[in-house]
Amino acid sequence: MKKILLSILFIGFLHVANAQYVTLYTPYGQTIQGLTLTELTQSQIDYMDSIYTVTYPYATFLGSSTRSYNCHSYAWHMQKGGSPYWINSALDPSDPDTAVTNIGKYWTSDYYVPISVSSQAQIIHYYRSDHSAIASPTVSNAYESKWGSAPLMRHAPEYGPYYFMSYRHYYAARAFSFQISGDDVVTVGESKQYEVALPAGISMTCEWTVLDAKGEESGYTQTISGNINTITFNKASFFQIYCKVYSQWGVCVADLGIEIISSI
Amino acid sequence: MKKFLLFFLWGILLYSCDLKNEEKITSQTQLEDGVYTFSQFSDPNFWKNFHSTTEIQSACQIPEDLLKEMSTDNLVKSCMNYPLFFTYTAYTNELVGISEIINSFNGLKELMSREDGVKKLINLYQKFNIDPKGNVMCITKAGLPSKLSFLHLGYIELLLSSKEVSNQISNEDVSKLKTTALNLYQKKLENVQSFSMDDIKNSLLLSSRLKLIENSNNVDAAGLNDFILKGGIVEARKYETLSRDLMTK
Repeated sequence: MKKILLSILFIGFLHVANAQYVTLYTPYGQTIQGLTLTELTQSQIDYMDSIYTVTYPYATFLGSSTRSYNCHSYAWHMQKGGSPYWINSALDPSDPDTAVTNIGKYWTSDYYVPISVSSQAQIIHYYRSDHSAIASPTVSNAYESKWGSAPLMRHAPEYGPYYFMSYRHYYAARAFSFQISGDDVVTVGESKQYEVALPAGISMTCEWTVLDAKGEESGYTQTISGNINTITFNKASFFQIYCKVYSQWGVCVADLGIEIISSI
Repeated sequence: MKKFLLFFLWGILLYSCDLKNEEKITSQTQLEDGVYTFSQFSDPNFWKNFHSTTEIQSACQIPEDLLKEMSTDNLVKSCMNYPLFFTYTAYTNELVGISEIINSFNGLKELMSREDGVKKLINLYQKFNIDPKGNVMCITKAGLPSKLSFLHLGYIELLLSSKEVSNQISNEDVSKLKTTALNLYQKKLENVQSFSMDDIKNSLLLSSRLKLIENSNNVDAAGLNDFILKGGIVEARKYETLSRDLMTK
């Protein structure tokens, strides 16, 4: 009888629980495993908000305790406009060498790269405490981070509920500007090379399109070799050269264009 | 000049004696019936003395001289008074948070090193209960925080689920713990207003650990280990399976 009662109670409880895995994506399109977790009760939220704000008076309370998102989600996913989810750092936590198999994708051949200058960091990973933060956009030398299921706080880099806060890695958006380089004034019949320089150590593909003044793909011949397009213009006209750059996971990371005048 | 020097040295000696006395008085006043209560931390203003995590952590230790003399019963209660006990909730994986607390708080380190430490922790857990209104209670009140919360219950359940503590849980202890864990699990289910799925997670983590210690043949050891390694952060569907397997058999 007790077994049945417990089962009924649990099913009732589960009715309000809707925890499930979701697939999220890095800015360059790698898949990230996220989770929706069931929320704390309101009294639990109030209690946690209170105990954390009392214990850490020099941190600024920015948002209430919640299980809808955690530190990794706030720093890596939500800063690029993502919806709140819970993100674990690793897919398989049993292997310490792959402890960041999930969130590590954000800085592996992707939008973010490791940097050594802390003042230039956009995202900070407290690698010994399984914690992530962002550099505060409003207060210098301060970080903002979601403390697990506890509140979202603004705090000094070494002020918070973690035990190894001096062990940090820094990350910033890849500082790279994509552009098409090549002559913009050419002579009919002349072959010219147009190139999009790509960041080193990362696989990307280019999709080229050339249009004449009427918006048609005519009046030229081209030989495409990855990020280099050798074009011969066969008529006097204005041309538009477009290049879309895709990450290896199929996300368009740059949409470029230049205007060419070809004359006799 | 000589007189001045003697006077100066005497002053320094007096001052240093005074400091030692002050420290002793401060630590003694935080003892109640042999339990270290960290009473200073109940004043919200006291936290303003600390500007970094390192300062906070070092202030939240039990003085070594008191620690060694403390009975294990009192040590367990002192650990329940640890002012940073709730910080496991700041971790994505709360079991990782509990391990960091165990390795950073000298009270728990001392408890782990004592032969009867885990037994006393189990004894204390057996005294926990939840009243019909959803309030967390403990039969033993003396020396414990005046108001226990769901975070205290989570703290003790996660401590018992941690690898550091569970390594010392015997097969004999398992049956005692299972009864209490099941009772508290049921009370949590009956109080949806006070307890969330996160609290159910703690019950399931402890029960998973106990099942592994029992080492019965029909147990999905790999599944339970995976659940524990993930700190219980899994899909609700998994909870349903675990609940059925662990709590109704």
